[in-house]
Amino acid sequence: MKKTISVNLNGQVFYLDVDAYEKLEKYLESIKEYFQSQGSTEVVDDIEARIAEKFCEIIGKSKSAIQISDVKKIIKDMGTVDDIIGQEDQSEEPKEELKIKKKLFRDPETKILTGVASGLGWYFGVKSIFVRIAFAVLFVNPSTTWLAVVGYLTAWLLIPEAKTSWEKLEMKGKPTTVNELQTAIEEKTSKVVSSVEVKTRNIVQKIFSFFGRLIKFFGILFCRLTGFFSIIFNILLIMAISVGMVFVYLYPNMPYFDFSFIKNIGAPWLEIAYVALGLIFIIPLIFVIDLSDSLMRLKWKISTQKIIMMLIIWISSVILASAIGTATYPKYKDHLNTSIEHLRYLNDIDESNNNTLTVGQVTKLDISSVKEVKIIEGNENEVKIIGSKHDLQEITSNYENGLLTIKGKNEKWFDCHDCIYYVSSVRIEIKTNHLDSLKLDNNIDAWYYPTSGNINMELGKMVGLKVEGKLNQVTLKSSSHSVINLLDATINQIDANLQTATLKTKAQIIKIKGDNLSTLIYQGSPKIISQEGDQTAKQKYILSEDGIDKLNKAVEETIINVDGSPKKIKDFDWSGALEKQSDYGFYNIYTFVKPKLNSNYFVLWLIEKEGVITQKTFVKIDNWEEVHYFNLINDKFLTINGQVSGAELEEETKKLYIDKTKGILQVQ
Amino acid sequence: MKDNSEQKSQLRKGLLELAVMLVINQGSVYASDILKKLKENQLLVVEGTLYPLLSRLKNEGNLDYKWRESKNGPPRKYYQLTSQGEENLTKLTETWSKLNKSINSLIIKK
Repeated sequence: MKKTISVNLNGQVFYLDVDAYEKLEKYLESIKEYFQSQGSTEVVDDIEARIAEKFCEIIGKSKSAIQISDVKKIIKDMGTVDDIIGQEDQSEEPKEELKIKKKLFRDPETKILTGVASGLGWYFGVKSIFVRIAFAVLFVNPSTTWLAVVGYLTAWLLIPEAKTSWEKLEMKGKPTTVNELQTAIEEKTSKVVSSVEVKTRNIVQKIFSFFGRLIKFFGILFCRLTGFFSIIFNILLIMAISVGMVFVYLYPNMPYFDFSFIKNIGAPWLEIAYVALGLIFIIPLIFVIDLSDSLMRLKWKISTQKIIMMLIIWISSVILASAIGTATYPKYKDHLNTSIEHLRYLNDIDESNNNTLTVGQVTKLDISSVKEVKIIEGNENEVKIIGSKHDLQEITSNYENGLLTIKGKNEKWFDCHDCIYYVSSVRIEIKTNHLDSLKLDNNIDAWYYPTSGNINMELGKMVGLKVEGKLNQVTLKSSSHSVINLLDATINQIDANLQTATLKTKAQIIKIKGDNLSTLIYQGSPKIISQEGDQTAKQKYILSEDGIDKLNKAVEETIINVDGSPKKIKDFDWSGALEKQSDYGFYNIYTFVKPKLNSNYFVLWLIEKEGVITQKTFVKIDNWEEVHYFNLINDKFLTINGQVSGAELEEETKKLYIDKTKGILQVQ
Repeated sequence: MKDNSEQKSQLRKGLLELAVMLVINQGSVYASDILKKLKENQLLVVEGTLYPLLSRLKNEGNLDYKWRESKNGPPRKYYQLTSQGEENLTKLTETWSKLNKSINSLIIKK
């Protein structure tokens, strides 16, 4: 009587004698071990399928169970691993006489702590530096520190140290020198290891070879992923640094970010310092990318030359940058310190409720030296001050008989070629029933939402005010580059006194007085009353007693001249007028009027520097929907963004030259 | 006299790949068919050799296989040459013809 074992091979069930089974298992195990290590599990399946086929033949000859003789014959037919490799492997490598099975040991020769990392490195065929990096990464990350510590200690306790030359050979899996091999062999033949020691060691080895594969798999995965993401992250970082530096170079004078003084360093030193500064940051990142690349490929990929080269460039950059820095620092010390100080306060905005002022009814306002002011008329009463902690400390406020005074610190102004910035982060929001008087000064952007009534406004230097809502009567005194936009406000009458200021309005009655640096822009057909001594250009040209009539006539004539078919001024929808301010300061302002559906022409007034209207001219636009905006570049030409076509504009988006002598646009 | 089986096996080894491709080129076949043909022509010592070879040819893109039902037993892999495999085979056969010619001429001269 013989015991049989049922076996599932290639999806079929066979019965094998126990000895036959053992033989077959051993054989398949050897096949598996070799081909799986080669990465071709397919071959293993194919061979199993073939053996199954052969079993079928044997069973077909009326046998019930497969016997050892059958298995032996099959193995002979199929060939052992050595047979197969011998025939298949084309390489001329001499067969290794000595079969060394790789085992896990701690390496005392290249150890840093206990040799765990170097041992694992040998075992997994990875440079030990990567194992150390992996441990370091695990250790540094607070959430995985325990894993690194426990893992390391366990490994230290369980993995034996490679003491003999033979063990070192086993640890490395292959001899690295001939000498090493020889001494190892001699040692092995002479040394008798106690069987107990061998047994315990074997158990440890088995555990490790079982978990080893698992660990190896995840270890490699971890290294590759870490490397991959690190590369992506660092490339993005380099891009961000580059873009940021270019941005600072091109626009050094953004609000709250005023490094414009660097322009004064002058070419080429500024540019050289820039490049050097960039390299100081970027070169280490490139090195980290190389490191990550090596980690991802599990191979040291950085050549010594490259490291030396990068080091040389980096050191030169440091020397260059610090030389230029030391040379220029004393000169711009104050600028730099202020710039940095403002940067520091920028993100420190205090939005807490502590900033609400408790005051009575506010009817008069006097605010200066803050960033933004928002005034909303309604049923509520509230005064809120928001800003960085630093700036809030500088704010002083006072309330007396309805007059609320808020003053920011009048800090140093930055002066550069084209810009003046006062850096403050303070925003003020005021809710009140009604304001009688509003006084704003010193670089404030303000919004005012009135509901009704009259107001007295006084605007100081660099104040931009936009009003939306309803007002009956406005008395305005405005000076020093302030801009008042009342186009979204319904106002009956405005009494304006402009000193180097710009007023935009569609009030029905405009009483105007201004110097020759002031501009009035209006929509609709208001009654404009020029005060004595008024020099605003607009008034001179258009707003004299019969200004509007003259204008209407002029436009009408122009259209007849060009189009050949008479059109009247009624064709234009004045209320649909659009308006846009140039981005380059307060001077270049223009307005245009969008025509009604039955005309493709529009009239363009250019109000140039010093408020002088130099041209009124027309452009034909076929498709208004596609015109986005107009932008006056300087007093010579303007650009039209969007699709523009028609008799005067033959191509799509064009610069238009204004011929001052003829007063027409020319397409360039 | 020294046994020259090593030399013989070296020769066979070199030609095995060509032989396998030639057998597959005759039509879609499965592993046992190929083994049978190769054995008939005494090109193969152990059957196991074929499988890594097939795997390699497949990975190189020279051949491809489809699973097909068999009458009894599980489905089998039927191999066939890809167009790239056919091209390579043509080149190999050309080389072989030339080699054959030159070797033969050497034999005759002897």
